[in-house]
Amino acid sequence: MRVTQSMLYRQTLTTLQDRQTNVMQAQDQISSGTRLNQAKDDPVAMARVMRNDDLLQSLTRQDDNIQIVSSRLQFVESELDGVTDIMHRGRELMIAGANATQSDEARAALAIEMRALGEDLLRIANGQDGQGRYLFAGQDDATQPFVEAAGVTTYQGAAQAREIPIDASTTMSNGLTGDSVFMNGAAGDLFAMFSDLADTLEMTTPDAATTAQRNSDMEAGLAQLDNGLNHVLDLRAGLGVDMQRLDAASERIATLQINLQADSSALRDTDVAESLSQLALELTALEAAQQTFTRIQSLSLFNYL
Amino acid sequence: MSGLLGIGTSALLANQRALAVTSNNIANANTEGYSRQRVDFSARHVAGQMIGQGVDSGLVERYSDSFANQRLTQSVSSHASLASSSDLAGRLDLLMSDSATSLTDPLRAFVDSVDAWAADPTATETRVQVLGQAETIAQRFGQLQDGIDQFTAEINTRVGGAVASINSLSQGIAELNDQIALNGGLGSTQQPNSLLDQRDQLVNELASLIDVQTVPQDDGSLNVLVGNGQGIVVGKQASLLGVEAGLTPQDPVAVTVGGSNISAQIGGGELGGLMAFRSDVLDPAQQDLTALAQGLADTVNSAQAAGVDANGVSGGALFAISPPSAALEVLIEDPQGLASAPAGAAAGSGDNSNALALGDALRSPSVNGLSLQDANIALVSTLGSSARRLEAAETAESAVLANNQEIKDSVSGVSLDEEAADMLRYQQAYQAAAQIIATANEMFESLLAAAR
Repeated sequence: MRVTQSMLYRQTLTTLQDRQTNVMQAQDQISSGTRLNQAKDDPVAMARVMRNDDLLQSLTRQDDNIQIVSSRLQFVESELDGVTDIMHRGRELMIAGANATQSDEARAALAIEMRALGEDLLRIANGQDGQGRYLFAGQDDATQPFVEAAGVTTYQGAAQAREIPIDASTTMSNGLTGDSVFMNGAAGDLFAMFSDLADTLEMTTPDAATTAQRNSDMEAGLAQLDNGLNHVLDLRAGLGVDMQRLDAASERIATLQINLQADSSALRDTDVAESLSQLALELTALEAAQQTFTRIQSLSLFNYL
Repeated sequence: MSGLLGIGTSALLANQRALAVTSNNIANANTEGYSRQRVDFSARHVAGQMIGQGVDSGLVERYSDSFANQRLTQSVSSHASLASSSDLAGRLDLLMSDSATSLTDPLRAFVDSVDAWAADPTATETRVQVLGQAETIAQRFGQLQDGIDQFTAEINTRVGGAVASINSLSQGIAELNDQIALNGGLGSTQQPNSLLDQRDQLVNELASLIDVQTVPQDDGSLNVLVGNGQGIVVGKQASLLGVEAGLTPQDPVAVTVGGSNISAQIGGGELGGLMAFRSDVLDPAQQDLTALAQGLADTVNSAQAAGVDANGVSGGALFAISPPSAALEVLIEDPQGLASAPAGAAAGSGDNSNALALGDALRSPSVNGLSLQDANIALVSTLGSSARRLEAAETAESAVLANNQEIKDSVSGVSLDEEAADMLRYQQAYQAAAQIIATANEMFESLLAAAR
């Protein structure tokens, strides 16, 4: 092939430009830290990174939800702990009252404490979380769940607790509804129970018939109290299971997050060592192209004429 | 001896002419489109004589390979087309995939704000957040629509510029056709070399704007055809291309010749690249973007309609869209207007099931069988693939162009070493011819001296 000046010139120029483009690209990757500046750099990797990022955002939200639910369940758990204490105390009062040596006056004093326990129970049932939301109102957590009027306590909260997603397909209740805890257990209406128990303790027994009546009421009350206690203990056990599920879900999310981040990082982030050696290689090639250009340009037959 | 003088003079003149041509080659070594020339020498012969009578310097020939030229013209056309479409596709890809301008982050943030709201539906702050993210994504759709409109406007402007250049080039070619034809056509006569070079150069410039077919005529003129064979140069006559604007500056323009629209037939040059980008990349991107905006509006609005807001009233539409534009408008200003509770729920209900349903709907197929986020990923990766494919094709075509340029240069280009050698050769021949005349003179002197 005939080689002409313009061919040499054009070819060298193209080579120099190509090299310079490569140098710029390597430098850009190193300084920006990413090799995916736009989708055309690697459309498949870009799609994967975007999908990972979408998933990571959902996971972060689910993890937040888990923290919210778990913090609420801890509040519920500690309130139920209080309920258990009240039940135990109530039981002690009943056993003390059942003792035949107790006087009516002593029982009346026990009854006063029993009514106070009922009031404590109502206070707990209207308990709030750190955000001032009612713990036992179900979904309607801005509504005070229990209101007492003329000795009767009624539930005004929602029939359902709020369901919060903790992964793509599972939701969990962020608490217990008040009626399921205080109204609908095996012991029925716990507020009424404490009031009934106090009534039983206050019962005067002028004759054997009323004494027998009181004794059987005391026995029935104690049994109801045990039922209530068991109900609360069951609920607490259920909460414990829920908390464990939340922990497991949170751990799973942490693992997924690490995997997704590692995957995205491998696709997106610059391998600095590789890019640096690539840059060095391109710079050497650029210098070589510049040197050959000047040497070839200085070659001319005219130099010898 | 008069024979010797004649021979010497013919050699002097011939080599002088050859030196002039060589010098001209050197002078034009860097002239774009110049083809090197050489003088055709032939031995002068007189019938019936044994000894020749010197040398004739005939035509000045131009080194040019019409096949090499045609291939170069074709690759100039394809390369220019790919260069413009690849550049535009790269920029559109950047717009749609750069996190600062793309849909990705606002869409993700909107979905997340809905999730946060579903977890705490009665809180004003989560509702405000949803409305804020709705504004952000509506704004982003508007910005992307503006971006696409700017691409259309740029294409319109560039089409106008290219058509103006094409018209001036085809007029130039028609004028050169006229001058070349006056010179007497393609025959044994001396060719108007520099005019032919100029015309080849103009044809290549034309090819960089639009794909052309050239048909040489007997009188030496060159007919130039575009599209489906519409002649824009026939002999010394040039037909001008026209641009038909749309109703608004955002509407795509059409290229016409003789009143008929040839936009779809243009396959090369900058114009071809602009048309290909518009029909293969920009229009589908616009459709996908509008489908995404429509999908988002439909999903959110139907969830709103299925529930009741904080006042217990059926939820109103959140987004308004007017296709084909992808721009969205946010219709709800009051955070309490978001419907988190299912139909039938009381005012202020803490029921979050409608908000949860919206969160699910946002992740369910709503745009061509894809969820919103997946449809966005598909849009971005489709554009990325197009841009990447065009970039690779442009790289390959520029190698082909360089190769064809090299083939043409190897035939027509000036090699200074070659010219230096020729200069020496003709200079020596010229000196030798001068010596012939001197010898003839000496011989004549000797003869005169003998006769004296």
